[in-house]
Amino acid sequence: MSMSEDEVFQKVVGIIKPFAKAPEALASAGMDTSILKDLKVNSARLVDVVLEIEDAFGIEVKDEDADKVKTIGDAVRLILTNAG
Amino acid sequence: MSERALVGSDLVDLTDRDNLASFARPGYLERVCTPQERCALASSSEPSRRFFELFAAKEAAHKLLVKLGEEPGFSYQRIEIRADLGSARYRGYELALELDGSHDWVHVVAGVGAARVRREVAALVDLVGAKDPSEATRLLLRRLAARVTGLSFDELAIERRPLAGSWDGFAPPSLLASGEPTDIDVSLSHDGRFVAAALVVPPA
Repeated sequence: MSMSEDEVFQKVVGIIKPFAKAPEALASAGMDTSILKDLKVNSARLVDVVLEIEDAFGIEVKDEDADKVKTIGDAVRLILTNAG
Repeated sequence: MSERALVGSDLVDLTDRDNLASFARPGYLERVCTPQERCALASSSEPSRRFFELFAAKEAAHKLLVKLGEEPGFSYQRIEIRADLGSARYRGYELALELDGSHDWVHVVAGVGAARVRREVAALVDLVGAKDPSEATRLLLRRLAARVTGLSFDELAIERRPLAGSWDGFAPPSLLASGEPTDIDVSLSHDGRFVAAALVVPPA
């Protein structure tokens, strides 16, 4: 069964939460929230986030696609496209 | 390629629980390292330390490449580190690397241009007065720059100018003396319990 955008969003937020140095920002996070700038996920932990997304959604995230992911919304759209 | 002396740097806390968890995560090494780098890791007597040296080298090179106008992006495999950790390759670039370390941390500086690299690594707890790691790195850099230039600590400041399109909306940090830009390029890094600063002094 396919997931809605909101379901994917909530799941992505849950994945990012343990890696965020600014977890308090997650309380008001939206699709435009920057994973690196606003949530302060560092580059080493961004690799963890990508690997967890692959596992959680059963998709492969190519480096070229990961390059374009700046915000939570970018991740959500990438997942919906790949899982579609 | 720029002729200006430029520097990029990265620090890894070898005891940090999150770093060690990443190292143990299935798929993490495969995502970061090239097949050749993974071969070297497999034969290393200290694979986790070797991995974090590679990681810091790639990060340092990445920061330098951004200063050179490149966009290496997310893929760590696009930046290949030589087996002796002496340089990083990316497209037409061969970036010199200098590695330093202790039992608890590794720090790598990548540089271009004929210049003398100076660096300092410190424990976060020793930077009294800093409210967070970012401020601690700035204090450390000002301290290092004061020692290298002979200027007073209070004359020196770190600036990040707004830059559209960068990952956080700002350009890499630059060093000011009495409010004016200097020709000394700088790089900051912090991880876990440690902070680091690096700078390059242009040839006289």
